[in-house]
Amino acid sequence: MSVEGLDILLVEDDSNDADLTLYALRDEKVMNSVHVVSDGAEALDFLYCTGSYADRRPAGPPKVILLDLKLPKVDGLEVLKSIKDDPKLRSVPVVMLTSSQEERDVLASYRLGVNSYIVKPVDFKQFEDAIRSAGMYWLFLNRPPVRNSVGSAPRPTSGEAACRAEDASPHGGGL
Amino acid sequence: MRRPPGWFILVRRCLLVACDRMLCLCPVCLLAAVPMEPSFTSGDRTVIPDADTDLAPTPDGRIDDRGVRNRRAGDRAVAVPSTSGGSARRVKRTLTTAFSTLLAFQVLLGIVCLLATISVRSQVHNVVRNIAAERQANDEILVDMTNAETGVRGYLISRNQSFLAPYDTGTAALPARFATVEQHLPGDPRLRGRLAAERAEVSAWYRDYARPVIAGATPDPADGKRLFDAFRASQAAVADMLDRHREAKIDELNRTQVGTLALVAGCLVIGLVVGTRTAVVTTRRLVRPLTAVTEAVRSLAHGRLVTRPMPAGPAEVQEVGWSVNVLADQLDRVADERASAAARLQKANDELEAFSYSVSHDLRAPLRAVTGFSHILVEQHADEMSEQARELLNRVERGGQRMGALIDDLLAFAHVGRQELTKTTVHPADIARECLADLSAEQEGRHVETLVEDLPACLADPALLKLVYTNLLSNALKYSRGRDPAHIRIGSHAESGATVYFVSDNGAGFDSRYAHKLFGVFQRLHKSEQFEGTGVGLALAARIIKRHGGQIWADGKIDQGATISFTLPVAAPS
Ligand SMILES: Nc1ncnc2c1ncn2[C@@H]1O[C@H](COP(=O)(O)OP(=O)(O)OP(=O)(O)O)[C@@H](O)[C@H]1O
Ligand SMILES: [Mg+2]
Repeated sequence: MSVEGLDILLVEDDSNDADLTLYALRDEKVMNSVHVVSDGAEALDFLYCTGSYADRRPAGPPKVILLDLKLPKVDGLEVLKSIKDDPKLRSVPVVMLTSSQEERDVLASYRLGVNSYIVKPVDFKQFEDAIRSAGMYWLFLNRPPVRNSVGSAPRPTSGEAACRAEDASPHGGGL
Repeated sequence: MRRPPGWFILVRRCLLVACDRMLCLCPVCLLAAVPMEPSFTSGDRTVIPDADTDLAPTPDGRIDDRGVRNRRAGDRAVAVPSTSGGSARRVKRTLTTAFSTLLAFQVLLGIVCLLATISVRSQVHNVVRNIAAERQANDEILVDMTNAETGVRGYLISRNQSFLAPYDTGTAALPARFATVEQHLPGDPRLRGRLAAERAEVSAWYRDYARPVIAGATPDPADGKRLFDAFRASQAAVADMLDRHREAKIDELNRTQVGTLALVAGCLVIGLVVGTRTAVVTTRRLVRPLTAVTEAVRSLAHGRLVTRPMPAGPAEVQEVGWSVNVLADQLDRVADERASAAARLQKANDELEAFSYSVSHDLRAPLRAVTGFSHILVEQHADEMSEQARELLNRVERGGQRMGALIDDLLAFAHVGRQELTKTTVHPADIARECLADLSAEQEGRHVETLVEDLPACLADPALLKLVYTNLLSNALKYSRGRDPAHIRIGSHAESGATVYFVSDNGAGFDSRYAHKLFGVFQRLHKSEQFEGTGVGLALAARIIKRHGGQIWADGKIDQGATISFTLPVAAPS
């Protein structure tokens, strides 16, 4: 399957997490089309083709944005808000990645229209599964309707599609 | 007869009327004087609070609520007004006693005066009536004597026996007349002398004139006239004396009455003046300062802690005022301390929250790097490494995973302590079944027989109760891993009025000597090689049960299974 242009924008300040995320996505032939930025301001510059990204080509938006919640400069929730407030970017699925299990973050993200929310597990196997399923889900199953008619599966709504990686520990979940 | 002067009669009549009125009014006046005490209300509001009615209601709540709240520090001030109410009631009682005594005294005085007046009046009245009878008898003596004289004069002229009829009638009546006069004669010797003189004159007339005429002699009529005039003079003297006597008696009566009236009026005036003065003084000196203190205490009780009563009035009341001030200072200080303690606590709580937030966020990222990269190393570079190096890297990864689990569990534990409880009626059996379904992975490939009994509903936070059952059931499944079949029973029984819920299994059990240790954080009785786990599960369950006001305990024996039991407040029937 060939993918034109940029597939994934990964907004991640922790270079370890960025590398692990890239490693998790390694088999999916999208490595060459993942762009990593390390803070919220850079993410916005990238998306709006401003600042150091003023002459980014092609200038179209990515197909999926993996967004860390806690970011230097402009925080993940702010980035999410400006994406969801922009009519041109609104349809781009955003997967929130975070280490935080704080309920208020989850709620705030959903209120701002996040498509999916992943609490990054410490266990790498689980981490890999979560990243891969979320990335692949939004990348291949949830393609925009104009592009292709092969995947005629009904578009899941953001709520149903929330593939939040639940903690395996019996008393960890949800708290 | 001497009449008393007109002004005297007028004054006497006025006094009599006034006295009668006052004697009737006196009890009424005094009765009115006692309810004067409520008139200490000084116009605007009742000053002496009835401790039962005035102080009991609180501005904000029911009595039951108050009973509970009273025991808390914040509402300690509420206890104060009841004390002051008590002292007010004592003052009320004292005043009532004083006024009742005064009333009784005045009523008694009134009755005594009334009786005295009545008795004096009736005595004097008797005397006056008797004197009147004597006066009349004395007058009739004159009539009889005149008759006798008429008879004698007719006989003297006609010598006809029939003319003596008036003489006989008069003569016959005379002894009785004298007896009547003498009968009630007051013990005045002068009066007795006069009467004796009159009797002597009568005898002289009979002896020296009437009888000689009847015997046939013809004495000088001038003698007869002289003798009769002498009698008439002495008769008039007696009459005059009796009149004067009567007059004196009436005077005496009047004097007695005036004296009594003056006494009663004086007592009444004194009583009224003293009563009013007492009322005014009491109001000013006692009730008003007490009111001020009561008001201050009430204001304090309503939370206006800046209130300070101005100590005034008698020493005892001033002391109350000072004590209230001291109390208010203390209250103020306590409130301040509490406020600052609450602020400190809030700050600490906020810091803790920020801390756990950053722990959950920042501590996990490096851990993920440790586990992630060691995993990649093993996966990607296995053939470049010795067997031992691979094993060591596996250990690194497992250590990181374990630390991740510990962090998660600790955070969950901290979170349960902070979380608000939203209690509703829940059905533990449903929750237990849900948990069993969630834990189906642990049951795969095993023979587990679960028995969920009918459990009474209870009042609890559903999410947290689910966490309790999840942990108890995951333990039961985990520690019965070696059994075939494993039995897990979720039941309840009533024990001394409370419902005890329990989860029991036939698993590995534990040494009952350490039963109490199971509920501590990171306390484990089994090795992680045998049974994995962090040792937070039961601590978390215990924390939740305690936050619900229940109790939790464990029973078990090595290799004979374990039972974890807990109590919860029963749901109100609806
Ligand atoms: N049903 C049981 N049978 C025997 N031992 C038990 C049982 N439940 C608890 N224990 C003992 O109590 C200890 C504490 O239990 P707890 O649930 O707190 O921790 P854990 O199960 O070891 O770890 P985790 O935090 O993952 O639940 C366990 O280590 C075990 O020794
Ligand atoms: Mg456990």
